[in-house]
Amino acid sequence: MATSYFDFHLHPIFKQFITQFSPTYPPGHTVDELGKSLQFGGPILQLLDKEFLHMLESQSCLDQMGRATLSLGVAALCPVERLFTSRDGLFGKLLNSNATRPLSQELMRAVRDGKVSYYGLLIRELNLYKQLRDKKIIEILTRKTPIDVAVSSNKTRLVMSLEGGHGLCRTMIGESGVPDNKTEVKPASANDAFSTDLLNHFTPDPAQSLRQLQQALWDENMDLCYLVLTHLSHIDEQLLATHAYGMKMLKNQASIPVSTGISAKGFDVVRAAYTLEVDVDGATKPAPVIIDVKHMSLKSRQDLYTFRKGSFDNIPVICSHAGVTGYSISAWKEALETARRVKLDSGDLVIELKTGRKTAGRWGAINSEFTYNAWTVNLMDEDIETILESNGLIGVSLDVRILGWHDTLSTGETNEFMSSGEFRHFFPERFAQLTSEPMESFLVPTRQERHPLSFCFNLLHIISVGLLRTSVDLPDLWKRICIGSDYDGLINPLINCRDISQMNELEQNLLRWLPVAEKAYRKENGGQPLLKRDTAGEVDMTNLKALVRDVMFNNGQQFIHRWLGN
Amino acid sequence: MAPSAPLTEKSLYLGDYAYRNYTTYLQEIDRVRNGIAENRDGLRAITDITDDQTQLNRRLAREGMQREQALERVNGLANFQDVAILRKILRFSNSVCRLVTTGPRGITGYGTGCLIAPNVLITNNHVLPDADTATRTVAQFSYELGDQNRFLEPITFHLRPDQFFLTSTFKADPNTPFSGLDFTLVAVEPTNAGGGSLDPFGYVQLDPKLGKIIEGEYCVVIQHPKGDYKKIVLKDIRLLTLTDNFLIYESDTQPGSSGSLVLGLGTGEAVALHHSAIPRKDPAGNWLRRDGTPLRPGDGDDMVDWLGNEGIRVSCIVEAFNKLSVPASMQPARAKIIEAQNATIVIPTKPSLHMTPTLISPRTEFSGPVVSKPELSAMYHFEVVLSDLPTMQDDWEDKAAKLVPGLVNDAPMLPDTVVPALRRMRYIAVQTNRHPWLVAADIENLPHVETCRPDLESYTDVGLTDPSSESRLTESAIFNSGTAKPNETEFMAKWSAKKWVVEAKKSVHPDIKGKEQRWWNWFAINCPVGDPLANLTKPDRDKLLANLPQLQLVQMDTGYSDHSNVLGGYNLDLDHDAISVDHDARDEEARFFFKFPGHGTRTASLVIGGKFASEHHGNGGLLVRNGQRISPLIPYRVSQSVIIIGRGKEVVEAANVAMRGGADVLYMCMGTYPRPMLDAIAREAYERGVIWVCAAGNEVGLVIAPALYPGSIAVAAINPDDQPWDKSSKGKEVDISAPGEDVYVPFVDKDKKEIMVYGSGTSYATPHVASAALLWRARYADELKAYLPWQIVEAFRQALRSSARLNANLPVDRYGAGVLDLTKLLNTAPIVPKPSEHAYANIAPRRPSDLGLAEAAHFFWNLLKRKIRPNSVESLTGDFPLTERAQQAMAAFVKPNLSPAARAESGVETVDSDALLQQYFNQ
Repeated sequence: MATSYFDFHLHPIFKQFITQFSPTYPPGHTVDELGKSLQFGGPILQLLDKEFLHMLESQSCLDQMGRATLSLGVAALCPVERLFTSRDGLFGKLLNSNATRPLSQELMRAVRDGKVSYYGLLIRELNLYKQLRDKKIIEILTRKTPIDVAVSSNKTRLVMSLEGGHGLCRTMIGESGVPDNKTEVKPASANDAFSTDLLNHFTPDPAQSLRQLQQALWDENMDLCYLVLTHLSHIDEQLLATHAYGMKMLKNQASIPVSTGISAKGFDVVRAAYTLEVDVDGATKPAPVIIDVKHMSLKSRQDLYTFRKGSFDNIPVICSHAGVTGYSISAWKEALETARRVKLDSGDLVIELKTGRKTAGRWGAINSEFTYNAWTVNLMDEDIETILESNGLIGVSLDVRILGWHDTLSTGETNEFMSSGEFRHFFPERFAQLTSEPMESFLVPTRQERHPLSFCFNLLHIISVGLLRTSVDLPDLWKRICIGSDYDGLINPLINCRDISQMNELEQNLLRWLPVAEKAYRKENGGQPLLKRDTAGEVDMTNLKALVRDVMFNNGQQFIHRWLGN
Repeated sequence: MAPSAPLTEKSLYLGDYAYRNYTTYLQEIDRVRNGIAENRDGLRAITDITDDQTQLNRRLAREGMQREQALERVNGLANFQDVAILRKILRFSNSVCRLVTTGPRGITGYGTGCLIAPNVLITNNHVLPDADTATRTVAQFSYELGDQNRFLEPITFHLRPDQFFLTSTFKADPNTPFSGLDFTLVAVEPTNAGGGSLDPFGYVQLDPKLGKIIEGEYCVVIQHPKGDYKKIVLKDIRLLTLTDNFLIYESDTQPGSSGSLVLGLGTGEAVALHHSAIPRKDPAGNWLRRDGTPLRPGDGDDMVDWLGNEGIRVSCIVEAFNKLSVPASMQPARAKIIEAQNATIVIPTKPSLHMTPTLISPRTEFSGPVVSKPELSAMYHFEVVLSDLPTMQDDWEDKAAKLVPGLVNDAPMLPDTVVPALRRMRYIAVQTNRHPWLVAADIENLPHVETCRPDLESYTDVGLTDPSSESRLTESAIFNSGTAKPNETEFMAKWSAKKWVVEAKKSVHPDIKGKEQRWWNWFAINCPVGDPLANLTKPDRDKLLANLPQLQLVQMDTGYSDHSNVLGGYNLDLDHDAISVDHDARDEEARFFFKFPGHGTRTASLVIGGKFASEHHGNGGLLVRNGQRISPLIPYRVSQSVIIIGRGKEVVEAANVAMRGGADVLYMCMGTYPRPMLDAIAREAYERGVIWVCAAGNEVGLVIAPALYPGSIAVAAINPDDQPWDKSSKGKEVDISAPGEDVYVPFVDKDKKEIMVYGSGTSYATPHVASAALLWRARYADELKAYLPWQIVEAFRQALRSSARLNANLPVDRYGAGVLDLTKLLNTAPIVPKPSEHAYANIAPRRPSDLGLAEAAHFFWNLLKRKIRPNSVESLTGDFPLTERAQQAMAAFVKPNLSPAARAESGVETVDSDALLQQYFNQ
């Protein structure tokens, strides 16, 4: 029997979805083509940096998932944000040109010119999942008709999630006052709960939009597991929360956070998510949606934790595709090196800051230092603590930039942007500038070694924080981590696991590198063993194999099992 | 090689002083030195050395091209230098002279000087400390080697400190303003004894604007080291740091170089006045020799291990010059210096329109301006509306830099607008030496462009009011006195028997006993004294109070102050300063001519005004309940003083920042003439569901921008007699009226003591409505969740109008639907507006006026102030001679108030500025 894998966050049909745009509903993709691998870009892109190219490759299409024996995963719906249609910067220019074919320029124009709403995009993609299910290519899990996930299936089982609250917005993209309720359903027989909801029940209220979406999902025998409140851009027409800066390749100011924490509308959405009920044959049934803290700014995350305290402690907090900063908030504040005020074209003042990177460990003869990515999009120790104590789950991303890997010649993801309000919140007094890090030396370890090590260091830090800051014991801590690849989400994946079909290679790499990383991590950071030892004091390989298997599959399966039972 | 020179007491003092500065900035200098080293190794661009992005942006702007090109150009300087810069530097070198001072026993010292006006030179104070020394000093020009190293004949001129002498000592004295800058300006005889003229040597203009150089760039010093032939330093000449007053650089200098101007090689502009070298010292403070041992008595300057040099920044010298006074006898020379430094535009000797208090013009002078060919250029900003053809918009994005000469920056006006039509608006910066309205005309002529307008300084409506009127204590009258005095006696004499004072006097509320008249405005808007929510049911009140913390009220004004009346009422975590571009919206009192502090304080007091421990206590904020503030006010500073709006973009940006930051209600108590960008931001607010409450305007008759736009809520003013305030702007654009004449507001008296006085303005009517808007939004927050953003604004407008108290005293359709009735408003539930009720649904887009008419309107709008202040000396930096097109537009508005014979006799015509402005305002 093939080994099974679990992925807490991936986009299996996203890249196929963005090859076409249909002004009518449902979209025109055929089920056959949805499964196929894609590579965006022709000869022009071959001239560009390789890292850039990896973002445009398919990483988790259905064919690849089949080869991976990914038996269970959470598919994230993520409508293309208007940010991506900006022609600012090289990446923006390429995305909005024929150089990145077969990416649909019609889609990009529709998004840029506001010919569709984010909600309209969302239900188009949802419809494709529905078609795949109806054609028996995948299974979609729902609490409406829960199944026992321990019983194996020959199909990939997917749970649905929404990445970015902008997907709840039902006015035309970039316009706050024009409802998207004129879409033609063609043929009329294709009308379903999603299109009915879109056309007949317009609401400008995102909380209400979420309620209606969940009801429509249930009516179509689907379900929403978690909601990522923000994504990569500031959504002016429906601001739910401040996002964390995470997209430096697009030189558009929408990528830069400008507000502070969760907005009033955002709190409404969180409250609605936690208290969701659906109508099933005239009876109401609870169908709460978990909030995923990924992409939320640090202050937004704090706002969420404060909000749920006392009232919603029973609902876990998760992070579906995380990296870690390696810092507690106070240590992160201490590590601030430079901060300067930047004025955007909009007039907004934001802070560009550089934070020293926490050393995860050292390995190798030269250029041996491994560091975490200190951007606030990554989890602080307090985040890890909250998630673990809430009985939540952390999916560790396979995006090497998030994991802390960086080019040998660069200092990696250094400067990030934070809204003025949040900077003010965390640094009421300006910090003096600290000395900058010395320039990195030139040479190896190779990417093949550094990428999995970076991944391991992120895992280990989560465990370490759990040991230090929570009452969860070591074996249980290892059960609260899984993979959250973010495949097909324009990420730069681990070199050893460029797409989901290479999960087995990642597993092998974890077995090889976790002991090495653990030793290096403890040497740098101290603390008790994070991997079980045998009587000879060596890492217990039997336990390690089981533990890695848990990370690769069992933990996620257990979480979904719990979710289905609630 | 020049001989060693002894170290004098002055040079030792200056060296020690410069060393202190050096060590203070050592960390910064080390950082720059490291950057320079990396730059030399090709690892870092020059523009990456500085960490001052503002300075970098200013420097790039001087290149007069798009940022990326400017970066390339600046960074390319290490290896390539435009010959034009060298020509400029050579021209400058002509103006540099050797200063030779003599005493009874011959030459006592050398220095370097440089002409900065046709007959005034600059040098150091430690070279020419006083008029007596100047009298004993001559300036020698052309003291340099010519071709084949032949010595040129120097031309010598005597100095004339009797005509002009202005100095700042080299030692700083805390009791002497602008001391320690170590400069002297002294007149030079225009013709020497031999008949030689000073004219051929020209002069150097000192540009006080910043951005002439950045750290790591090269400096050039033209000098007479130790009195030697004129030299220029071209090697090892990097700028190490810039501070507020001085800069430190590597360039080699020697005694005698004192008084040399330091030029930035990248721009060819003077950046500093050299005044001292910096010695290396040991920890004990001893100066060190080059061999590392302490300096010994008798050692000359050539033995010292010099670390670098220090110069006084040109901007500081210009500031000192502007503020230091000189005797009346020297005023002519001072005027010539000013003229020389501002020779960009030559004002025509025969103004085409002769402006007098009655706007009378010579009849036949519509011949266009006389504009010189200036050597200096300046940065102007323009708002541009692109063609609605996508192809033309795309082409503009690709080619703007080629289409617009001198284009420095091109950015969307509202990058994240929620109104697609506004995405065509751009905001561009152009470096040009041309008339900005002519540049606008050229840009507007491009097929890519629909309209183009320069963004120039303008007065607010408040700034336009008549200060000479003493009969009514208006907002403007308070301002023009700089302070105010208690005026309750006058108030009572005028209003004690009038409607709302009489009503107030009936109150038995203990908090206002004996001073009821100060609260008349509360009665006029039907607001229970002490508790604006008193007339709500408890559930409604609880609901309102539960929602209120989620809402934001932003005030766009002159900023906040610590006046006791408003202290503690602000949210200072979210404030914003669009002028200084930072996060502290503190009201910085405008200096110089404009003594108008505190407008923002007064317009805030009617929202958050609290207890005021003074005999003048009274009135209070509408967001104060039983003495407790129920919502903070977020101050945004959009204007340096209440009378001038610097650039319209600053208002646009402030409103945009507020909206993107989550504002629910904005209010603005000043305004200006209509511009496309203000039209745009009012529409933006509307579509984002932000209620923007705006003052209709004071004393100008017309409803001003942004109040006149459909998206905003316009407020006119009434008085304690429930009559319209006759100075209030009025018109069909007005939505509502509220108390504005003689409202009790905070101020300071002539001793800066906090007081309250009665003042007038639609500025005071506006906060009443803004407060009401916030309370209404909180009261109906749950219902409004189902509304599209624009519907929230429109529903509020409809509730506001339908709940208004009808007032027969108000002219129909001029003061809105009536007077604000707060209690009734808070009990008026929203009704979902239909699409046809969208404020912009049934109106054609506002057609931009012709460029000439726009220029004329700008001109007259700003002129209104001078019309009533004929002796005023202030001027706006944006003032230019009118273009021909504007004059032609004006000609169409000539008043037929004189008979042809009378016109012929007087040779003057009167332009009907009111008609012109009405046309421009479309009212």
